[in-house]
Amino acid sequence: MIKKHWAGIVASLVVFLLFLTSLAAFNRVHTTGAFEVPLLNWFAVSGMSVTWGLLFDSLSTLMFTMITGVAFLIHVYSIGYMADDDNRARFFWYLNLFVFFMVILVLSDNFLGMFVGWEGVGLCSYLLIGFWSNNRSYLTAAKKAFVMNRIGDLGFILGLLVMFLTFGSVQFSEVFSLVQQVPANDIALILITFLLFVGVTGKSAQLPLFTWLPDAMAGPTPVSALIHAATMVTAGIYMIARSSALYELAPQVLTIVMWVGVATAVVGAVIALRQSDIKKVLAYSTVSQLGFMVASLGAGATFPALFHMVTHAFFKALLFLGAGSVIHGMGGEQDMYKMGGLKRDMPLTFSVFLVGALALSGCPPFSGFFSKDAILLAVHHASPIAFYTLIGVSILTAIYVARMVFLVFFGSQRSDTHAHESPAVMTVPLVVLAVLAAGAGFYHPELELIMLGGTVILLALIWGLTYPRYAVKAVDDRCDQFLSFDLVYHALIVTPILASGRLIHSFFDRDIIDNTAGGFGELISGLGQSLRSLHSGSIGFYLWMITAYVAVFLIGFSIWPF
Amino acid sequence: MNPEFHYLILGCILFSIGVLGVLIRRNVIIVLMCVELMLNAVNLILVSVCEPIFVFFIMMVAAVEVSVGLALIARIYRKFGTTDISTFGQLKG
Amino acid sequence: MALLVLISLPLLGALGVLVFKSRLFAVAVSTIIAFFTATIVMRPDLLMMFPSISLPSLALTPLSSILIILTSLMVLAIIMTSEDSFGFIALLLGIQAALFGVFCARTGLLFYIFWEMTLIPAFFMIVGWGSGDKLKIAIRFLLYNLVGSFALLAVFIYLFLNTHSFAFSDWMTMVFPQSHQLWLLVGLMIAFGIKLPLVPFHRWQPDTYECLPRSGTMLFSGLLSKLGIYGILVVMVPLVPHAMLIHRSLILTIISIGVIYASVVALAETGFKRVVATVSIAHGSMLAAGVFSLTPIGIQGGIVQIVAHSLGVTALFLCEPRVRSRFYLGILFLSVLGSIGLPLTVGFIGEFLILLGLSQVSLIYALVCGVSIVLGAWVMLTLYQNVQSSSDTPIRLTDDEETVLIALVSAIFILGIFPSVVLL
Repeated sequence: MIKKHWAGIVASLVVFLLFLTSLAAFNRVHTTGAFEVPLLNWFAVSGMSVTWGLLFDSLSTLMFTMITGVAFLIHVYSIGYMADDDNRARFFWYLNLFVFFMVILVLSDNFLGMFVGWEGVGLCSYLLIGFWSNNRSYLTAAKKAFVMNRIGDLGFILGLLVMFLTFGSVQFSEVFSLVQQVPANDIALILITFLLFVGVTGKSAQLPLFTWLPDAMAGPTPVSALIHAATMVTAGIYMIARSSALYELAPQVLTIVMWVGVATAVVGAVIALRQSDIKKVLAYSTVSQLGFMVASLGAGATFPALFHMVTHAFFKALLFLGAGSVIHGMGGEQDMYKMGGLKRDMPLTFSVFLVGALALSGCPPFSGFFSKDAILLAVHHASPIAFYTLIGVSILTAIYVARMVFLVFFGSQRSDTHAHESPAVMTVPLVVLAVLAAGAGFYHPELELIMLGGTVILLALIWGLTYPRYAVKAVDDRCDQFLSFDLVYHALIVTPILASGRLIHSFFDRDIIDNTAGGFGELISGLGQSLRSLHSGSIGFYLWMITAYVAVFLIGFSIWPF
Repeated sequence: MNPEFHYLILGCILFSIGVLGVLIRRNVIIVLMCVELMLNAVNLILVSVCEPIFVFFIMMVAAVEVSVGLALIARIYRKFGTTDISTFGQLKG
Repeated sequence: MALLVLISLPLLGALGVLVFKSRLFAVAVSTIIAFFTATIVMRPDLLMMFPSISLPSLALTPLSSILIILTSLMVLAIIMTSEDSFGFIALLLGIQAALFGVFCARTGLLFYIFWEMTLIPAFFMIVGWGSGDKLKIAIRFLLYNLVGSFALLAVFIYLFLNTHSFAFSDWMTMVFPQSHQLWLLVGLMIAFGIKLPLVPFHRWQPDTYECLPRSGTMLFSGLLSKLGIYGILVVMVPLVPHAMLIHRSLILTIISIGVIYASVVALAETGFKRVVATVSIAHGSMLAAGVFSLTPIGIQGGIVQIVAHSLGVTALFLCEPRVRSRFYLGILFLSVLGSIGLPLTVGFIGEFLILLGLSQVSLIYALVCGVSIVLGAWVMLTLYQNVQSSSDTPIRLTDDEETVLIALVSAIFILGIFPSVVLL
């Protein structure tokens, strides 16, 4: 058995070692304080130099620990999930590569090193989404994810460029100390923060660059859990948290950030309500929850955003892995309307999934309640309108979560497939994540019993009202293309670019340039043809010409002798 | 008005007659004769204006040219049966 | 003196190849040349054995050192992987000699002679070993390049008439009146822009690259196109910096448009070689943009990108689709990554420096040229996925090809992490 699973075992061990390292680093930072590990010079050009180095402080060690911990659990899970796939060795190789780049992203001590990790995780995301490369549509989804990310990356690069021009460096230490001397509302700072945020929009799937995330569900479910719920998409959150020194001095950009987050939260939740594929529901849910985190950052509250990021990593990974368990048990089926009644056949999966669902809905005493609450409070200080909007989104969240749970696990069995529970190698990580999702939240500075009680009542109401619609009757209200930004983008951007490419190629390239160049040739040969008529063969004509030329020459010479 | 000037004028007139003849006449022998006329007119001018030594060069050239030209004309006549230069279009194109 | 030997070695090699008709001989000759080049560049003191006749018209500058090393290694790679006959290899070595000449020339006369010398073997390569409508394509190639050479000649003659010397050192110290500078600028732009190629002088390139055999395309894209940028760096920038500065915005606008133009057209092109050729135009324009920004960082980025682009397109063209083995797909994917400038490849460093240089002029140029990284990713990934999904029958890659590909791709990534070799 070890021989069959050697790749998964080795990969999981590597990540486990990294996890232990992260714990050690975390411990050291919280006892002795932050420390740096400079590595080597990357390149230096005319006064500007970039180095490789690592920075361990509370933020980066938090990220490091979370990433490696969750990644380890997902690696173990994948041993079971990918057990029958011929290419599983390659899968684990890509998965490890991803962890490597993600670690570089969070531990790097300068923005350019972070960018190496940033693009690296984008690359691994591409490789893993398109992992089953026989399917052309999966490859297209992977390509779309990568290109859309690249649009964000362009913003990130431009932000880096302005940063270089303004501060002469991209080292965290230098930039964050130099920025103290910059007055607020400086145009360069606004540009930098805004452009970096464009990068975040791409990587963390905010409006308008979020449509790649649902498509990324083409990849194997562990990939969705790791990359598209817990780690890569949180890179943007980390980036803004890291650059808070910059963002504090650009309040206009923070306002934009907050409202983009709020809008994203709304759109994500609304679309999730109408999806029929279980993974798509979770994908849009991730978009929505990321919107929450971004909104919190925009409101100036970094800690709630990070808190929610961690809890979300736990329960969303749990939900995805649970969905993977369901899909695995159902032999590959992902349509919720073809499921139903699975709580009888897959009790363990059901229980952990329920935990995740409750956490996502923000039900106390699970972790999601505390983190979401913290965000709501922070946003309330910044803007009441945003606050009420996010409350509305939370209600929508509860609705689509309930819908999902009821359709999948309750009601009558709508399919003939006999679902079976997943093996232990998959269920144990699920349980661990469930424990984390349940218990990781007990930290709340301003707990009010009103909030707690109100939330419980509201959730009970929602679950009660949706129960008959989805659990008993399983109303089919799917609309998979609902509010499809994808179609809009395809029509407004993709098709015009391709069309203009063809147009330019045929019109400018062929008709204009080729004809101009050919025209010169035609001109010369036409000139030759017309001069050819001088070769009349008539001797008399030749004699006339000779005489005329000599005469002209003589007359000319007598007037202008050289 | 010195004597050289008169010879000069005579030479120019003869040269012009020669040029006109080359341009206008259609018989190739006449054209050759007009070319001879031009050469001799130049001879006259040269003698009247400067060193007579050039005359020998020109006369030598004229002699060579006449002999080769007449030989060519004889050949052409044998081939085409006419001496009308307007019919010699073989160099066309 | 050593440089003279350097230039004549490939010529002798060409003769030898024609006489001995042996692949092994050709590989041996180019390996010797590569070692010789490396010695000249890194340990010039070892060449004291050559009689020290100093020719002021042939000399090495740091930039030309990089380029002659690149040339010798690329030609070695091409010969190792070439499937063509000995005549082709002889022509290839002839072009190598001409390239060495151009890169070492310090007088306009030698520069121009060697510049022209590349054209005739190139023409015969297309006609003799090309496919498709080769005569028409070869003639088009020749005419386009001759127009450029004519512009170059006109400029050089003007310079000669004004300074009565062909030496670069005399030319660069001379100051020209403003109106003349503009004409010089235009003339040189035409001359070097056709070579690079820059839009709108680019139409000869896709057909030519498609028509040539694989080794020919590697040569043309990897080396001959570098003549253009070398000319800009060595002739244009030192000669008319004032005019370039005054008209910088206009020039950068035209070039930026060219970058987008080529990227978008690449989306519409079909056929592996044509797509890579068009992407190569986009990269070349980006490179030129870096140089024309006239900032030290931008120019440095351009020089890095010369190496990056050369390695990248050579690897890509070597990967012309034939097989679907795992190794081949992996190597092709790595080459694609190098081409789109993923961080950790040398292409990223070049691109980043160029964008930084451009942003020092104006952020708008950086934005416009930066869009090419998005479009480039789109194009190259589509290309890769088309190869990945095609159903051609697999053929094994030969050992030589595998070695060269591994070497090229490793160079792309190693230089990406340790770029100090190519930074001046």
